[in-house]
Amino acid sequence: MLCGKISFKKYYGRTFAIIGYFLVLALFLVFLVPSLEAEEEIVMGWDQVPISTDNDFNDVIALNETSALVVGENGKIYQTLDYGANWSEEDSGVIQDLNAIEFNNQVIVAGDSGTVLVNNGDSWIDNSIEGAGNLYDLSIPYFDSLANSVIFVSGTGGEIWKWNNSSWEDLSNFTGTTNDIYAIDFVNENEGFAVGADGLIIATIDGGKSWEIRESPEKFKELSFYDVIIFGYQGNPISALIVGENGTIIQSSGTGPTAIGYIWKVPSENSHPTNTTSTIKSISGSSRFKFWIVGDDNFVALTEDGGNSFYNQSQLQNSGSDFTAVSFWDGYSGFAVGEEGTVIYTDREGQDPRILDTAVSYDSFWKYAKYAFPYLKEGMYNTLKIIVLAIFIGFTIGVTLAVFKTSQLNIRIPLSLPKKDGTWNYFNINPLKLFATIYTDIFRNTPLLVQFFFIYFGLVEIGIDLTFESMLGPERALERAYGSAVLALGLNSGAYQTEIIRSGIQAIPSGQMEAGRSIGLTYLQTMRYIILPQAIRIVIPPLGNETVNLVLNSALASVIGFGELTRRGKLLISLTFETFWTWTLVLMFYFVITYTLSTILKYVEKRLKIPGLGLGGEE
Amino acid sequence: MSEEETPVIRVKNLEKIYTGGVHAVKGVSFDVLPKKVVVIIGSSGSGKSTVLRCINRLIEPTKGEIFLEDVQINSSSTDINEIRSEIGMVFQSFELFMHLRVLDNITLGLTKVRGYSKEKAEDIAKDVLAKVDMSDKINVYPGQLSGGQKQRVAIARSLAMNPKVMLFDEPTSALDPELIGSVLESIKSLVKDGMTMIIVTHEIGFAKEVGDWIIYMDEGQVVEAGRPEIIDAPQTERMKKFLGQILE
Repeated sequence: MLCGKISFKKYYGRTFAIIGYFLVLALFLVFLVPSLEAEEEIVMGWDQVPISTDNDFNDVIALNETSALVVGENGKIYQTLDYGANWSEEDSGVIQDLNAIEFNNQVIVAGDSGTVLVNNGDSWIDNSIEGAGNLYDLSIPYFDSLANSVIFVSGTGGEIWKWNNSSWEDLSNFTGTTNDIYAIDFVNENEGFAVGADGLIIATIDGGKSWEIRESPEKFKELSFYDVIIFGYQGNPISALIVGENGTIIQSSGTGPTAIGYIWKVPSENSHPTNTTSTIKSISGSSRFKFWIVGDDNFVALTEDGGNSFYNQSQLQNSGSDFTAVSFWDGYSGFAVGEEGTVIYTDREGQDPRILDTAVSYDSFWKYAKYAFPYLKEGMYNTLKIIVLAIFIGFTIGVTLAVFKTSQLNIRIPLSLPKKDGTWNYFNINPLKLFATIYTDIFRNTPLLVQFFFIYFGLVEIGIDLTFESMLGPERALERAYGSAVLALGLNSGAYQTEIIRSGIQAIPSGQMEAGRSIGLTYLQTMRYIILPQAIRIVIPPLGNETVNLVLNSALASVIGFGELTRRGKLLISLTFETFWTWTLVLMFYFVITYTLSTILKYVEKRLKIPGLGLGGEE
Repeated sequence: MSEEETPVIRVKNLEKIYTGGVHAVKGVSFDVLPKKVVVIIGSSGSGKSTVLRCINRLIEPTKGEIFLEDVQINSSSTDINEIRSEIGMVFQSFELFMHLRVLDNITLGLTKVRGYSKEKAEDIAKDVLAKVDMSDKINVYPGQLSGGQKQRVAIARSLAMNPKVMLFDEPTSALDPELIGSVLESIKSLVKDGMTMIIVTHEIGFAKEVGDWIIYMDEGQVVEAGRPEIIDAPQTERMKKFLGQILE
């Protein structure tokens, strides 16, 4: 009976802990949600333009500010001359799906089963390739007349064909790959890139006679790339961008004598600047700094700083549709197309002039939370990345210095010659204890914020670079911020943990040390096997507090530019101006981290509990 | 005491002055012969515990010489950890390792100091636990034992190291009267097995029963020493007074 009662009580208590946890979270949300509905209506930066078709559109080309051509399923080609207000269907003469459209003096279209159509001003001339598979993209580096032009097309199974001297030449054997090639772009007749499935990036510098596989960064190797764009200056490539699955965007710039295309990296100090996991299908813009990207799940975004950060321009009324292509005439006017006849047009950079700086506003907390969540989640991972290492460093320092502080080492420094009776005047000094005391005094008596500044800005000036070479991402400065944050938090926490563990050691009766020594253990063995295991068990609760403090203090890493939770919140606000909701979400994230941490620590304390040792409740 | 035998412990002119000037031990000398039990009695503060702790250098002697057989203990060339493993010590407050189970309390020294394998250490531990009648408590934590049981485990812990001599520092002083008996029984059984011992105690009856040689200390000096009979016929006023107080 008694047993039954106890286990019931235990079960009861645990259930309450879990219920309490969710109750707090729920209260948090319930209190905050109601006032959310009355947000101001969204003003569009993009106009929905009508085409009466359900066919999926695959590509678009803007011919000038007002006109564009769209290609899609079943051989459909549509043209508009008036900002997309009216569309006329062209007679393509084919029924194959058309996948790509490109303009260089003339418009050329590529599609399934080797279809290639060239517009001669009035009609579409079939210039298809015998024996080719489905073609996904084309590039026209040179076009004077059809007889005097260079065209590249790419397609399934690693196919690339080149139109030169009025005939198609099969380059597929030179590509060195059988992956589907989704996009191809040439900056001149010789130099070009092609990208495709499973992280494929290939490059040529001799007009396609030979291709070289270029390594994509490790974390993108499994992802497919859907578009590539090369920015050139007077025919020379200066930068290239690739987009693809999982919101990927990577860039390669020539640095000094190095040609572009060898080193690919995310063009941002943020490791995932697009802030989406949707597949990005297409990229277009007016310069290497200002361009738009579109993709699945209604994703449209603009960058004005070369991809460092993006303004989300997703249109709520398009919710759910996938965009397949975008094309801008200049830095203001452009078209984007997608599934089931979706076409949108803007003549104002995709932004409403009245809310130029606000990319998006949201009419409900949930929509906003959905938008902000992945962004903050990554911030949370970054926070965890610092605190895990910092806790480890702090604990190591804490144990070591606590042992130093309680050590009995005594070095006697004679102050003078022996006195007449033969005894000496000594000055006793314990260097270990002295070192530990100086360390803890410094770190506990200066502001943590200043310690961050000192370590991040100060140390680098005297040549101590805390960049983690092995984790070296694209941005050195970013990784230095990471190293500095870990070190600052670890050193600071180490000082507090030293004092906590020291108090634990001193709480163990001195007889334990005597007993250990009396069976022949050395001082350090006694420390390790007898004193520390007991001392640390006693100080688990204060150590837990210190760990929670460390998590909360990690917010200070935002001031040295590390993209942890707080900084992510700040950046999010600079994009959305949703101050209240953003900080609400950030608080919730912190709460979840620390609450989980203290729950884990409670569990650890219970697991390590030994009868008769230390304080604490029964059970 | 026969003269031919080499003493296990030899204390010669031991003096201890604590930092701060307290002169706790003022020239104490005695020998402990093999398989003999020396009992030190005396009032609190008479320096008996200091003498005991000087023998395994838990307290550093100021002057004098202490030998374990022919090795000088208080010399800088001796490996003190090795010496200590040859000298068992039982404390007034037991000092069991609270975070270790009874068995691990005993095997710790065997594996870390003697370097025995875990299996061998556990066999020895079970043997000595059986000697002090604690076989049934192998897997409990010290916090779950009574004082008498703790002290018996502590005795087993010292015994496991197979020491040449065992030091008892008031082994029963922290115990409730009804628990003292079992601890004294365990010590008596060690005496029967021929263990060499130095015991500091207030149990006069017990001292008389197991002691081969009694030392009465007061104010840091040996006042009287001799066979157990001296307890019944003290020669000095100081010892008479002390015994009077104890036996009251």
